[in-house]
Amino acid sequence: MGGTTKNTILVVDDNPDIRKGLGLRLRANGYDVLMAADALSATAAIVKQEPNLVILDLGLPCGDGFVVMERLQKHDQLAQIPVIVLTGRGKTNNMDRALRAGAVAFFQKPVEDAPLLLAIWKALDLPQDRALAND
Amino acid sequence: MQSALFRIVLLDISVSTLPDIESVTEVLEVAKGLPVIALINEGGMTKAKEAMRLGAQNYALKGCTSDSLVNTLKHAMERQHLIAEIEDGKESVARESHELRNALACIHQFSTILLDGLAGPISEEQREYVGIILQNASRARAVVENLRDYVPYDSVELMEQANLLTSTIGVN
Repeated sequence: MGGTTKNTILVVDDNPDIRKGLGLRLRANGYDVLMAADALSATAAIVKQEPNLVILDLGLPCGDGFVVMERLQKHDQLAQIPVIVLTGRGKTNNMDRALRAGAVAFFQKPVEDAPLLLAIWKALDLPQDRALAND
Repeated sequence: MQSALFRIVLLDISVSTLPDIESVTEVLEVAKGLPVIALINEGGMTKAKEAMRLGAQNYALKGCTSDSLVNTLKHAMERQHLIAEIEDGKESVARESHELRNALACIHQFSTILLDGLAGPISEEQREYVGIILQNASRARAVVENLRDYVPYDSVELMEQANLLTSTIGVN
């Protein structure tokens, strides 16, 4: 899965500016970054490229983030890929639902870099000094 | 029952026994959001309360004056209109809040990218200005965070008006 080092992250968001910004931040912290702009291409990218982690928006074309998580949960191997939800939607109706659907963490936009990177470290089980190197 | 054809439902439960109150539930399911007014006989308050507990908006006495009935219907439709406005307001605020959060996420993300030098070195003056952008983005974020469960202030007033209409015609 994603080579011997656990460093490939798939960013799924329909907003190209969000994808670009997150991509810059993650690459600066030593991660390889893949991108997808809708639920369909996100699922295809996960199946083909098996990233080590997915940062997933909920409001997406061609389905939504919940559809993506539902598909992952149906596959034993893909269900092991940690998903961090990063959304502009409200917590009230979405946080519990996302965590029940398999997400390991839930963030509302805009998110500070530090808590997001910490959640990534935890989800990938990486030593913290590795991802802190570029901060 | 097509909601495009009807704006309100008058449901006669005056002759029904208690099990027939189930007809209220069935009608409400079919009415899909239309206001339902239960028609009762004098002394039928128990059935009226039960019908309203199930979702009927109000009740009217059979044999009441036509003015009274017209008023009840008018209030029911006004109340329904106010409720629809509240729901529209909630949806609108949720949608706009989502857009604001995305815009703020971009402002925040790219400001920190500049401050951290990920796009190359910046001068002290540029750093100060980007810092000002970031501070104001944080203020705007606090405003978004404070939106009360995505319910706009106006909708609270609308709900109070709806409740006032209900209490005016003597229904709890």
